[in-house]
Amino acid sequence: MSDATIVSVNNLSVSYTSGGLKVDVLKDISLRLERGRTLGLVGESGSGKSTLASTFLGALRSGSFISKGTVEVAGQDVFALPAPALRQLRRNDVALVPQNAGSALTPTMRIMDQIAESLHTPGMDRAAKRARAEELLRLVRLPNPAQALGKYPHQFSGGQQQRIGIAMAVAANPALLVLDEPTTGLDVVTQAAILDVLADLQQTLNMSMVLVSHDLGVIDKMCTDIAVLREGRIVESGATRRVLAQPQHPYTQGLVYSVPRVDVPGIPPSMDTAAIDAGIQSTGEREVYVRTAPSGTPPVLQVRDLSIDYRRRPVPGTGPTVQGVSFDVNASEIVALVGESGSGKSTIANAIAGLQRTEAGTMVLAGGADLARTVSARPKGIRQAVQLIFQNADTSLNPRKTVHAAIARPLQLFGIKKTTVAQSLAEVDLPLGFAQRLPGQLSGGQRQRVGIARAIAAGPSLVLADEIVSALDVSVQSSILRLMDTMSRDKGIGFLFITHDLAVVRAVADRVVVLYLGRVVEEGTVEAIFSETSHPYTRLLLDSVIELGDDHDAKPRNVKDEIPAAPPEFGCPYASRCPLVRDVCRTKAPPAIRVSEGHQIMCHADASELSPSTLAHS
Amino acid sequence: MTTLTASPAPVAAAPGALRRVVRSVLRSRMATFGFALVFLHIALALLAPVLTPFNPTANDGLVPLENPGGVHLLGTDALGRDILARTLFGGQYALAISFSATAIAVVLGSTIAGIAAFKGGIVDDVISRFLDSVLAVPAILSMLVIVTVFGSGPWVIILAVVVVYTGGVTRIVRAAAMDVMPRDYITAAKARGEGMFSILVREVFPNVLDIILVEFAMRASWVVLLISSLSFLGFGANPPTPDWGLMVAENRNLMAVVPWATLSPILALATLIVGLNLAADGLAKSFGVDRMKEVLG
Repeated sequence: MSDATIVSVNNLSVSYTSGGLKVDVLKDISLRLERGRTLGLVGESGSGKSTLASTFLGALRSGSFISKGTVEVAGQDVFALPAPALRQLRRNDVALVPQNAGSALTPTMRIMDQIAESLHTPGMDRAAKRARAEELLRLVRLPNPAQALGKYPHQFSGGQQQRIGIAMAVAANPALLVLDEPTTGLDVVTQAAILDVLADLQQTLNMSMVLVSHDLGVIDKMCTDIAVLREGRIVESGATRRVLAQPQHPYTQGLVYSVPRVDVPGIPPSMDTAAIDAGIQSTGEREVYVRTAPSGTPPVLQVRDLSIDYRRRPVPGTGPTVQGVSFDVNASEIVALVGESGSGKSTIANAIAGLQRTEAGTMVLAGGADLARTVSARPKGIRQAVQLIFQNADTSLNPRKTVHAAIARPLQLFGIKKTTVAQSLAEVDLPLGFAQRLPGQLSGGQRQRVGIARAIAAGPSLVLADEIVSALDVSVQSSILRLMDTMSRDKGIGFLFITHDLAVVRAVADRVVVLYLGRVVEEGTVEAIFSETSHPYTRLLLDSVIELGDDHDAKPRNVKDEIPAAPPEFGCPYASRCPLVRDVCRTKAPPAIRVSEGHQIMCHADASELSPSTLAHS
Repeated sequence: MTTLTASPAPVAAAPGALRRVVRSVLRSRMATFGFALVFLHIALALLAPVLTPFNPTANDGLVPLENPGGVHLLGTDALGRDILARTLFGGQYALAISFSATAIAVVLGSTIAGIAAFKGGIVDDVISRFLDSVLAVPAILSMLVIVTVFGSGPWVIILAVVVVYTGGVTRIVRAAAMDVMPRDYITAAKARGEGMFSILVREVFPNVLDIILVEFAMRASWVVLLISSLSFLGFGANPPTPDWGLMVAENRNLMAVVPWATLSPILALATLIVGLNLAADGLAKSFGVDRMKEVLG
């Protein structure tokens, strides 16, 4: 092995025993990473990508063991090292950034002390440590590093916590940085900023990186090399651009083709696992299903001037959490509610579902049924008409109850005779045999189908779908989106689809409402939202999307990635981050600009200013 | 969607949770031993009338202070009562009181815990602080107060146990229920408009049942000991009730003369408590419940 190689994995197999049987998590993995390069490990949940990444640190989940092969990092066989040498390796050469920095930081320890723990230089006094910690925080571009040292982890946002996690990981100038889904769960804007930091760090510190991700766009942007894993095997590897542009293995082809794109309307084809198992090459045609928006259907939900306030008493300088939100959802229509976390999307959905009290405004269902009161005070008919589908299929079903029980409950509760559990299962393309299964026996996509079946069984006119595909693997996302499309057309159900994923919005939505800090900043048909004229905030979201095949270096880089904690009391909510900000923005609520029929932008600027070139965030 | 319409591989019916637990308990020798001891005690108590011809409370002035041998297998006490009969019927008394008292405490505690976890906010605060104040008083002290006020007898003992132990059960079940409460299936049930008790019974309790069961087994062993202690101190069962604690108290001065009169209730008590503890341990392990949390609860 030459000095130029940092990681070398030779015929590695990792197994665990279950019920006397040996199960392989990784099978015959061989790969090599040169110094200074970045390796992307891609695969679905359960493909073994995180297990592989953790072997670079000489770590295995308890119960699993190396059944074959070796892992060499910086010339040392990590699983043959005695404990002190392994500690030495982890201290000096390899560092890990875990997926969720929020839970990786010790909640009772100040940032200063956490970082000091990872500084292993002996004989460093406190002042020197402090200076070094501050330097590290500056390196990851945390705002106010000197102040941050005295704070606790919970005082930072998710993106800031991730920055601190990265700062700790690079404290010892590691030769290899292992990142396990470092931006999963972060908003697009924050994700883009974190990835920029990582790319710069790699340049300045001359590190090699291993990036585990399910997001092909992120891998495409960050990685020079790629290894695609499926069921514990590497199915394809090589230079990232080449592999992703001309995938050779059917599985890689399936992955690449099933990713929804922000610049292409329509739902991509779902992955045909049977064909992949049979080794059938894809024809290369990406058959996208384009949904046609319904026209002239009556509204099933009308929201007018909705305000929701979490504050017990008014705080000077801040406004209510949600203010003046108005929109409609028509029958058969899929309306996307888009925004970063903290934009109030879920709060609004909860208010419609009757789980959150509202301050002002009206919410009316078709036929005039009023949604003003919370769920316990709503008559049965209204509760039946509004149904929910959740983001996390793991917790949306009671683990102790069969699929049958989960779907039968709303039927029984609402006294529905004409629908049966069997019909509901058939509608979501699940075989009847699934009725007696428990949620633990289903895959994520199947669980999500049961969640949809449960909602549809009640015969609703409005379904609130909260991030229903963001926790799913790409291969099943499309089929769930198709299901939503079918349900809306066949049953005339209006969907309020809450998401932060603009590619999914482009794929399935008819109309889009963009929220920022609980205020609507733009509203329009899906084509209008993705057109050239957009609100500065929408433009920021669009520019932050990282897609496969983009020219990543040409993209504008933004620095202001942080959404304020509370909306301002007066003026435009986006004033603090807007590149076009002017005095009036801070005092007066922006007027609605009617760009075209059904496309409104709330902005003080002129429509002609709202083009991509003037809005480049620099 | 070809993958889904293709008929799925046949899957065994929902894994019998009970069968899984039984298998896991049987795999552990200590847990098996514990359950065997408990079931043996239950069987002996139920079969007491068949196993011995003697009445546990009948005096026989002709055969006081006999040692084992002859018709009285374990001998007799100072009043000529058969010790084996008293020990066997004492099992009935101990098991009936401790199990019913524990059952009431666990059911009541779980219900209060469910309400506290569901309502949250001020309701939860009031319930929790009230229970804290109950738990602050030493168990034996509050039991003595209750017995002194209400007199003795099985119902008062049950009341005392319920008062003393409901708080502890509530605290642990509340913590477990709080963990379940934010899950989406609870939100789904709320959005359907289900009532609080419907949600607790259908959605919450099935998911904390493991903790409730372990709690039951643990508390039952403490209650057996507590009841016997009370009787030993003279606050529990009234003579001539065949109670193990009372038997030890009555016969401890005669230990040199009729050792079995003291030994047999002590052995019975010890085996039952050890059995319940091992069973609780085994259950906790097979359910994956953190026993340390339970003990410190």
